[in-house]
Amino acid sequence: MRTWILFLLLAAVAWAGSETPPKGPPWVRALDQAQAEALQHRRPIFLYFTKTY
Amino acid sequence: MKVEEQLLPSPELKPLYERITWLYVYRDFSGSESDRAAERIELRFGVTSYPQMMLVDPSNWEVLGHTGRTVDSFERAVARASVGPPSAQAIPRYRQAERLAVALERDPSRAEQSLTHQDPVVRMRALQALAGKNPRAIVERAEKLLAIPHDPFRFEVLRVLEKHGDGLQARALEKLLAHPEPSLNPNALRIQTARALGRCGDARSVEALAGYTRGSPQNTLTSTSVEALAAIAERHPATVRAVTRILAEAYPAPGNRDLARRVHQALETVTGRTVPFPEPYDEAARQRLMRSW
Repeated sequence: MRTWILFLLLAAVAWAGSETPPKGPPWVRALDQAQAEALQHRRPIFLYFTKTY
Repeated sequence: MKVEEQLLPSPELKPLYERITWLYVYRDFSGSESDRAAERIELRFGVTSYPQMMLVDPSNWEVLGHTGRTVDSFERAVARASVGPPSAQAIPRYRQAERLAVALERDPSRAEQSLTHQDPVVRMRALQALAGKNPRAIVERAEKLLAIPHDPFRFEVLRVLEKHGDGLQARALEKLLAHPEPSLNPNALRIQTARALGRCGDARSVEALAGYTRGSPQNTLTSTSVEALAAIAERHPATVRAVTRILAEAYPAPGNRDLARRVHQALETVTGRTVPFPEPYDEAARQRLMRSW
């Protein structure tokens, strides 16, 4: 029983969105910064929306 | 493909690192400054569910495409996304809109003037302020406001109509129920529209809602439509016969007892009769109930 409870808690943590972006891409966190960069380089902004669960 | 664990960290996306600017928008719903800033970005692009991934033009915020959840679909979306010539007004326009939106968060006294502002975030902050302060101002303009194709905006208008609306909005609501697009979340929009029709609907709304009472038992729209019809019948006695017929046919297949009980309760409310709810709720019981009304 305890093993199942622990499993469910760990699964909930794994599923939860996080304040830390996923590893890899060069993320920015503010739209005005993203806009300035994207305009400078003439490229689209990719937005990834997530939340805490 | 899992977005955070597999897609976004995938080394296959490395060639795209310099092709796009990568913005991470995270909500914790704390109401902090950073959370409100993230909310304003969501409002700008009409996001009401998660996760969402899109490519936009930094000059005019036009959505250029959605990336999907695979490396292939992501690559194709980036390849197709083409930005126009950069606008010199883009940054000052955005900064001005942000200032006005933040000002409305702190002081809603100019909300009514900003309700039809060209910027979606300013409009949304104005709407949210008026919803609390002067909902009639929203009700009176509801048809025009519901035509604005922005999910969060429409949800807020519909919530106001659910509490303060009247029969004058029924036609606009029926139109939205039938055609929620464009929407990132058309089913959720329909659910909220059905709730508003429960308050504002009339005899013509009965047929508009009827089909949704036989939808999937797992879809909230089904039970919401049942309850909206019951509310209409309570206000418009001339619809009782038609609503009774529709609800009697809405008993779901066995195994969906919760929905069956809600249909049953709605029928008792509409007809003023009490009919025992059978246990177990099996096919024979379902058929008997359908004939009981």
